[in-house]
Amino acid sequence: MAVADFKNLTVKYGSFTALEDFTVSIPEGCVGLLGPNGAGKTTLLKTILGFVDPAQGGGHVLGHDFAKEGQMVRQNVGYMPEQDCHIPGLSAVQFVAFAGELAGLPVNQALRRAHEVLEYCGLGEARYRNVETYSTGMKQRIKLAQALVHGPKLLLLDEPTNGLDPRGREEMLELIRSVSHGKGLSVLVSSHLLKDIERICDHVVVLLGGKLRAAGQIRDLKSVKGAPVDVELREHNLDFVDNIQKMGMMVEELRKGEYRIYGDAKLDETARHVFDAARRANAQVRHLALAQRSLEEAFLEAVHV
Amino acid sequence: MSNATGPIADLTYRGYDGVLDPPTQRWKVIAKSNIMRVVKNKWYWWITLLFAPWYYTVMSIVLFFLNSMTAGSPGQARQAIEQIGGIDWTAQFLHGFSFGQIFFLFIAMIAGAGAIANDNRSNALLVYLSKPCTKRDYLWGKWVGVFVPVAFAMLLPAIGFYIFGALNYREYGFISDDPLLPLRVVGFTAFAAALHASLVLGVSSMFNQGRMAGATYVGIYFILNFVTVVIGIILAESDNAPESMRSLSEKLYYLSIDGLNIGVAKIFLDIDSASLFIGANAAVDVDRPAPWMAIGLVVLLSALALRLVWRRVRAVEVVG
Repeated sequence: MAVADFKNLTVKYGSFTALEDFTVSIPEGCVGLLGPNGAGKTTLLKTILGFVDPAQGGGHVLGHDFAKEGQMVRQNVGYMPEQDCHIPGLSAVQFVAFAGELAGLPVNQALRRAHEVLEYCGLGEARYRNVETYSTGMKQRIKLAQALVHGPKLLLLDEPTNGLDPRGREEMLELIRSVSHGKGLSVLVSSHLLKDIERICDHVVVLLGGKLRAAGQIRDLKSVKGAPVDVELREHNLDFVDNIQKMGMMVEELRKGEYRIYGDAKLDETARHVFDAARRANAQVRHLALAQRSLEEAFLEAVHV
Repeated sequence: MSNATGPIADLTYRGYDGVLDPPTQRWKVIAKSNIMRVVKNKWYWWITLLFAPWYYTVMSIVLFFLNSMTAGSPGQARQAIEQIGGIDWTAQFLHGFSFGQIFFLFIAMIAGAGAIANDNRSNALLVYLSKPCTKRDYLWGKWVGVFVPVAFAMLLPAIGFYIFGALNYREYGFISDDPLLPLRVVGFTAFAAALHASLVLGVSSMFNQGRMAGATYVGIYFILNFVTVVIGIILAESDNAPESMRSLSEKLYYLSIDGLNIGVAKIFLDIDSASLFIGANAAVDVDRPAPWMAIGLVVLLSALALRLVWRRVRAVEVVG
C-alpha cells in the first residue's frame, strides 16, 4: 500500500520550477529521496506539509489530499527539517512536550510522550538542558524527537545526518533504521548521501532538476540488465573462461580472478554451468552471486551524469 | 541511543493513539506558551507591580493622609472632607493610565518584541507549521499571548485602586459617581492592549532578533510622540496658520501611540480635560478626539500590523 502518491505535481517559486510533472507512488517502509542539491527533494517535503502550494497537479498522503486537508496530513506526519529549529528559551523536554501539545496531545500526555521519545532518541540525560546549548548531533536528535512525539504514521526526514561526525551519523542512521522497521511507521528520507540511503532504505526515488528520474526498490535499481552473475575464483584461470565461452555465455573480467558472466538461462542454470566449467578447468569457486551495481552507479545512470 | 539505560523502563518506540484536543484549540497552546514566557520574566512583575501603578500609589498615599486628617481638628477635617469630595474619581483612572504609558510600552516590549522575531531566528516556524496548526492559529495564539499580559499589566493597577477606593471612599461618591467605571476601564484597556499587541507583533515579525524588534518599536513610539508634539507646537505658535490648523494642532498628539491610547481612554471615560494634584502630560488637557477617528485608527493600525505579520509568517523562503 502506498503512503503517498503524487500525480503531475508541479511546484514553482516565482518563475523557477522546483518540481515538474512529478508522478510517483511512495510505498510503505523506509523510502529514500535521492538527488543532488537543488533537485527538489526539500520542496517535495514542504509541499506535502503545505508550506508551498502546487502550481499544478497534487496528490495524497496517508489517504488525505495534501492541498485540501493539510491539517489532517500534518496530524499524521512528523517532520524533521534540515535546518536547526527549536522554540527559544525552552529545555528539551519542554520543547518536545510543546511540539506534542501543538499536535493536539493533552498536556499530561504530551509531557509523558516527550520523556519517552527523548529517551528513545538518546537525549534522556540532557532533557532538562536548554536546546540552545546542544551540540549539532543533539540538535539533530531533538528534531527527530519533536517529529516523533505525536506518534505520526509517516516521518519526513530532511538530510538527517547533516553536520554529524561519523559516530553521530552511525547512531542517527541506526535510530532511523530502528524506527522505520517494524514500528508501524513509514519514513521518507531526503538525502544526497547515497551510502546513508542504501544503509537504511528499501525503496528509493531519484530526483534531478525537479523531475523524477527513477523509482523503485534499491535491489531492483542495483540489478544489472540481463541478470549476469559475478564469480570469484581462487586464481585467474584461462581454461575456465574458455569453458564458459564454449557454453555460449559471455565473460567479462572485472579484476584478476573475478568475472562477470552473462547467460540467457535462469540464475540456477547459469550457476550450474559455472560450477561445471570450474570443475573441468580445475578452478576453485570462492564466490558466486547475482551481479549488482553499486547504488552510485545506478544513481549516475538515472541522472545521466 | 535507544538501548541507553534511564528512568523509563521500556525504551522501544511506540506510536500514540490516545485522545487529541480538537484542532480549533491549537492557538491556545501558542498563547499559553507566550504568556508563560512573559510571566516568568521578573521585569514584567517589577514594572506591573511597582512602576506602572506609580500614580495610583501616590494618589492612595495622598488619600490616606487626607483620610487621616478627617479624624483631626474640626477645621482640618472639614478641609480634608472638602478636598476628598472634590476629587473627580473618573479622572484619576485617566491619569493613572496616562502616567503609566511609558511602562506599558516596556510591558509590550517584554511580551511581544521577541514573540515572532525569536521564532524567526531559531526557525521555530518549521516546528509550528509542520504540526497540525495553521498560520491563523499561530498568529491568533501569538496575539492573545501578547494581549493578555499587556492588558493584565494595564488593568491590575486600576483594579487595585478601584478596590481601594470602593472600600474607603464610597461616601465620597467613588461608586455612585459612575457605576459603570469598571467597564469603562476594561474597555479602554482592551483597546490599548490590542493596539500594543498588534503593533509590537508587526514589528517583531520583521526581525530575527527580539532586541532589534524591541528597539525599533521603542523608536517608533518615541519618534511619533516627538514628531506629533513638535508639529503641534509649530502649528500652535505659527502666526500665519489658519484657525482650523491651530485647533488641529492640539489634537495632533492623538496620532502617536501614546496619544491614541489616551484619546481612546478619554472616549471610554467620557471625559475631556481633568484636574490633577500634580501636573498633566500633553494629551490630558486637550479635548477628546472624535470616537470614530480614534477607534477607527486603532482598528486600522492593528489590522495593518497584523496584515504585515500574516505576510511575513511562513515556513519557507520563497525566491524568484
